Amino acid sequence: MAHVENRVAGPVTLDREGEERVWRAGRLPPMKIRKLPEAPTAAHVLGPAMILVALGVGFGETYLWPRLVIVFGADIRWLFTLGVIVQTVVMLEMARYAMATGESIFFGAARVWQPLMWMFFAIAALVYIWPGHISGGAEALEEITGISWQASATIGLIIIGVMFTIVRYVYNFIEGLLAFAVGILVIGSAIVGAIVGSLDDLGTTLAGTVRVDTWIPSEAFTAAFFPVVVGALAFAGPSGMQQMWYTLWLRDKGAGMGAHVPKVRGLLHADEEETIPEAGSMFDTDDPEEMRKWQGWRKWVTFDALVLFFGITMLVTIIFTVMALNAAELNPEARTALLEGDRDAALPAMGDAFAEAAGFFDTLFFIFIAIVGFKASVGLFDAFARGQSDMTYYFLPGAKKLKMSYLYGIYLWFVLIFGIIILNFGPADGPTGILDILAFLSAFVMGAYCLTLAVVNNKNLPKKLRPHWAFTVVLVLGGIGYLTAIMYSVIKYGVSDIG
Amino acid sequence: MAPGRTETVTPEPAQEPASPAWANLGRRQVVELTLPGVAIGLLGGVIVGVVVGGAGEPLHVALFAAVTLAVPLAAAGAGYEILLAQGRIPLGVLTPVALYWAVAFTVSRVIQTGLLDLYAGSEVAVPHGWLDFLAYQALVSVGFGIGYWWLHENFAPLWWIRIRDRNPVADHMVGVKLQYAGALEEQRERKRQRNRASRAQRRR
Repeated sequence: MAHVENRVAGPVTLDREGEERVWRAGRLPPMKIRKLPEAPTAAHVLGPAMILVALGVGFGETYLWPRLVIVFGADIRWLFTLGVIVQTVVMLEMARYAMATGESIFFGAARVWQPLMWMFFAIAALVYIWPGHISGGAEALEEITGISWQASATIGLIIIGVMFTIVRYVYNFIEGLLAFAVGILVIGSAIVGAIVGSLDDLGTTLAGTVRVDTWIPSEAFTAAFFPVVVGALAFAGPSGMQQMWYTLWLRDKGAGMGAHVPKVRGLLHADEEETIPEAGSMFDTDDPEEMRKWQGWRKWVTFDALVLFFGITMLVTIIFTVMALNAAELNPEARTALLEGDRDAALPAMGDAFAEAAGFFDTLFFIFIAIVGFKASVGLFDAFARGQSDMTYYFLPGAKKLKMSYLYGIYLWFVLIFGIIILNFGPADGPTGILDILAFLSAFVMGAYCLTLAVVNNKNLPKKLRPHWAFTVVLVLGGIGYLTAIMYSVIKYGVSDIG
Repeated sequence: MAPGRTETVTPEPAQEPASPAWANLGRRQVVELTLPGVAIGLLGGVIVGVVVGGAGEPLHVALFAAVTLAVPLAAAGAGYEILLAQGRIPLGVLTPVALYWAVAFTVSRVIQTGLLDLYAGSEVAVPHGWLDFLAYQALVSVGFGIGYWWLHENFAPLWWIRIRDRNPVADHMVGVKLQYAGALEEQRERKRQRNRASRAQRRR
């Protein structure tokens, strides 16, 4: 595994009076001016976008969008493209802040207004303590093997906890694990797509991906399906708070000024943690050499965003859409069942639709859903613990007495134990019920972070590092779009359940 | 404030051709180098086998589907590794990988489908005709190429590090890969040693 490992903890620079030079943003502690490490060459070192891809290519691409395509046809896919374009811009802008300062976006939000950061803390606690992804994956596994979803999900949670406890550097471990999972997913999708698809299906899918003149089918503007469309839009690419957590992975990767912050360690190695600075740091934007290195980092992350993130997300979803088109062609009843049936029946109905298309399609579909569910859980539990411990460490009075890695371990085991209790003794809602709550708040939080990010990058960064106005416009429109869609769904149809 | 120099970006590390080292390799060393490509190719076959077998098809059908794809993909993977070792394909760059697999994957699928036609004795494998089939496979191969590149970039270096002491080409690859990280890795190691020393001192 290639790593950046550019952890050059250069000295804080001094001004003519011998005082430490700093960059002030908001009322929080200023950022000390330190050296920006050299950027890696894009093609040689993969960045944390890989984790984002691993999490992002999930239920949206393999389940929600194929389901919409079976119901409405490929013409609705332009909405997916739109969602992924917005998410690509968000990713580039999240990276801008994290690499320029070594701070998470949560810290950036606190520099603007601290209650804003606590809002994200509360939303994360509300949304991500539910073991929705792993139960969804476990339900798919039950379809194939007959093993009870509660049992497999519980075992999965325990394995995740043990893994993250015994490893030295959590990031290195999760990067390796998810890199393998994504590799299998991409190669597997390509091979299966090559076996079952046709040029016609691919042509229809590609046309639907870019044609915006088809607008949205009128059947989508119903209480039954408009919320589903909104949910699917939120699940195009990384959903919920994944983009916010990306800033934490970038820091642990040592990207940009993240090189000056120690890595999070597994619980068994927490006592080895180095001293964490009280805030991020900034580089000297007046120094042409530093700006040259900055351009290198931007090139690196742009490669990640366009090739890895945008490319792989589009690729996997195109292949799954080809499969869905094939299924819909051969099994028109599935479309009717999905249009009329309740949403709890959607997963088996999708399986039936795929089974009609080819003998092994339904098994394949459930295998992918199971992999996606377990894979997402690995990343999401790490991300939740990472984000909450970051906010707690910096902003909860007294929390600094504990090391960051201890806080990480506490949050991780809390969410795992809570998940096990809910899976086995909680309300027997079933996996979809859990996912519905997650999907609703996903759309809300995505709108909120788009707007927050636009403010953070334009307020907290030196002028030379601020985003191009066009990117700010995309962030603002994206934020308004997510919030409007979810509010319209609630006000017009009285439906907040968007699974 | 002085204007930023946006025109100069991080320079690509120059990859010197490995061909001089390649010329002196023994057969065993060449086989070692091809392992990552062969493994990814075989993985492709395993995926097909698991999917077909898992769907309840007879074992011989699953095996047939797996082997007929795994063998050509593994051979193509070995070919890629050899071209890489000879310095004919640059290390880590996506486009050459995608172009290579546009041909190699399509040929592999033609071999598999041709054999399947013979085995099944029907035209089930290419229901839309060969021209449609070839064009479609070439397009889908981009996906396989990206997946191959992804796995190769992430995991082949681990193998090269294992064999670098006995394989000069692997050593060269590791050198290119670690061009940036090398000095910093040493720095981290020194820091680890300092931490260990200070902990030992505290215990005393």
